[in-house]
Amino acid sequence: MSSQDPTIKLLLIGPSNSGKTALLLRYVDDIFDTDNATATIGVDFKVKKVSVKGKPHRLLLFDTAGQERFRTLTSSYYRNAQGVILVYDVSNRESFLSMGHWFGEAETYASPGVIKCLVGSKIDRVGSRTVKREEGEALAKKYGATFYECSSKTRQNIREPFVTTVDRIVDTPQLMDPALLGRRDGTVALRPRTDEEIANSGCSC
Amino acid sequence: MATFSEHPPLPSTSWDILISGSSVKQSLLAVALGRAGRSVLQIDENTYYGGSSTAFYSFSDICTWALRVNDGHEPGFSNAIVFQEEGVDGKRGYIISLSPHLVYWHSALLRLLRSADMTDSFSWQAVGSWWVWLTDEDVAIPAVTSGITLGEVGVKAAKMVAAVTGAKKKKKGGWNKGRKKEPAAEDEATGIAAVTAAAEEKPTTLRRVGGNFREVPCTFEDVAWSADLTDRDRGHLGEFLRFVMKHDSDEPADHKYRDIFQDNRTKTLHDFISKNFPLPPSAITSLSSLTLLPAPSTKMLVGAAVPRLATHFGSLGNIPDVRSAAALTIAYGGSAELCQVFSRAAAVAGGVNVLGRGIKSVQKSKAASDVVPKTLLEAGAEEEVKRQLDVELDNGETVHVDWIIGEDATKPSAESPSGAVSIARAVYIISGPISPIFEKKYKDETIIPAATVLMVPATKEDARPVYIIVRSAVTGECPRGQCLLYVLTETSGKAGYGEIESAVQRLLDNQIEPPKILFSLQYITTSHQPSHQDSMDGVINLASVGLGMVFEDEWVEEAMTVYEKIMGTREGFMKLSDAAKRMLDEMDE
Repeated sequence: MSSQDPTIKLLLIGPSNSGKTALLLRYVDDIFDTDNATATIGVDFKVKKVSVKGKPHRLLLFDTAGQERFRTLTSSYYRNAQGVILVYDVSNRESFLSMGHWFGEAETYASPGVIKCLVGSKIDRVGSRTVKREEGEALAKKYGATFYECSSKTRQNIREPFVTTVDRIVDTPQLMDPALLGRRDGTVALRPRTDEEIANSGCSC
Repeated sequence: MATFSEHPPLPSTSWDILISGSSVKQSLLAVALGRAGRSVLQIDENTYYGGSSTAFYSFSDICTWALRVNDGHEPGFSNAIVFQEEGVDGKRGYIISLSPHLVYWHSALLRLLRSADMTDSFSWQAVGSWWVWLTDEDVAIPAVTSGITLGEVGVKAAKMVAAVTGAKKKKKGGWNKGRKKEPAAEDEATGIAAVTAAAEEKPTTLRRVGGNFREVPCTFEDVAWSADLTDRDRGHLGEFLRFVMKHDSDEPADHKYRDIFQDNRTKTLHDFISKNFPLPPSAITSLSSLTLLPAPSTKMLVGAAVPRLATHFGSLGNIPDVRSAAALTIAYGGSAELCQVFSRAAAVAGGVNVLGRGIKSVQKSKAASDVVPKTLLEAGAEEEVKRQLDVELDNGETVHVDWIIGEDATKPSAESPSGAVSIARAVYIISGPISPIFEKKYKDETIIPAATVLMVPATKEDARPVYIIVRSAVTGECPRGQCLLYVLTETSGKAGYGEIESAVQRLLDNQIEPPKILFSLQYITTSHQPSHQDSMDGVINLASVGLGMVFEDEWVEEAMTVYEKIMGTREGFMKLSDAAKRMLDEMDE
């Protein structure tokens, strides 16, 4: 990790097929790929450079790697996250009804004070909407989250959830405290070794 | 974690590999095989990750587990006892691990994680000094006078006795007197070469905690300046350490060390050191604590102890910003965190993890042995791969796989059959810090240790030492101001609990403000000689992870062996695909 810019870690959670990966890919790479709606295999997270109040920040965006399907997300997934984006599908009522579970997960495993943003996705599916905007707003309010409805297909409101969440994080000094970011007092930096070091290490023990 | 019982069907009924369990080795293999492009289904009959290496996130989770242990549902665990101080809220803020392992700087795990680009997936913290309970009387006993080895010692040792007797006089007045006030005035040590170098720095920095827990001398400064060593002891210790570092050296010049090691493998560490590098018994006990082996120095064998000492001393001084440390530990639960991170990495590599699901039965696939009609092959039925094994899962689903990797869960009989080893263990949450073990040892260090090791040596014949690993709140495993004590001793039964309790009490009572015990969990772990038979072609049984305090190199080795069996090569074990690597590099620009 060469960049010295402050790093912000955001997570996406929510039920299967709610549009998490689509939202992520549209935001980071401006891709909307209906045929290949799975996360990139082999890569843990995506990086996006963002500017907050004129200052560059490095945004790390973590997707669920499909672990939400069998509800086997690890609690370690939530480590040191400053923001959580919870995504449901406005055309799938069941996905909305499961959001209580996902808010519960975030409160149990993420750092106290983590910034939450609720997102209703796929609003382009006008005809098949089963969750009203007001319902989403009310749920977000209940859990102290901001709320957006968006469409990865039409790009509508794609940036807002991320931008708002990042702004709120940067405005919360306790969340920008290095101790929360895994750079605790006692943390040893294990820099990846250079090739030369690896070559010299052999089988030393 | 999961409150929903209904699961969707598996995305496929056909997999290259079914991994049963999510303990350390299974998780390692799930990542390695997934990254190698194999399709991996990882299941665990528990509803949580980690199996016997898991961690608990609340006191009530622990109580649930303890009940399962006492009902005989957790193979290898027994006699769980939970204590909770009234009014203590254990709903969140705790991570109580069954596997708070230490990871040496020179370890197969760290080498592997570096090559796998995964060191960043963990918060690494330093393990500080080792501390051993030694009274003033203990340290006053000079070399070779302990009597145990007198029968064996030769002329050289006899000379030593004379020398040491002289030294003893000089030592009178207690090894530790006045050190705190004027350390510089302590011991006008001259002698081994290292002293000269160290003399320019501050002399001895050896500390004491909780009465008689004395810091084990291990850095050059310590060895050079330790006040409970005479100059002659220093020389012998230097010689012994040289032997330790060269005991497996291939250099022709070092063959004598190798030969000494080979010739003495079955001697006890105590007898071996007493005879060849006559050190005071207290120094031998201190050294033995660095092995983290459950036996006392009078019972641990050179063949087991010396390689561990070599790992310890070889690791020492390498960790950035904390040169007095030799080992690291993973925050948020040690190896329990490792299992979780690996399981996610397996999913990132394309695998699927399912919890709360086990194997009901395994059968050799009938289809596999049948000759597939040529016409079918030509019809391009490519996706219809013929698998070796049919597996029925406990929810009734059937999957077809080529390999099953599981853990040898043969239940050891309660009667402690021969070969079974029992360890009494306990976890304590205490209300205060323990000073000064979580302070920097040297001013030029910038890292504060997050864990340390204490040992209470065995005093009675047949007794075993008690090890206490203390972890501070910096690990993220308890609220600020509190500490976690992981305690263990080898035992033949519940008797170990008494030893554990008295060792912990000894530590707490000697604090200026004795911390209170807020919560404790005691349990017995039993490991057994693994049957280790792979019952069927394609079914691989891993040996269960042992009882120790260290993440063992052999676990990585066993995982690599299994990988080689499946892949035909060790090449590429845990390596990221080139495509994934490229993508990571691009993102980092």
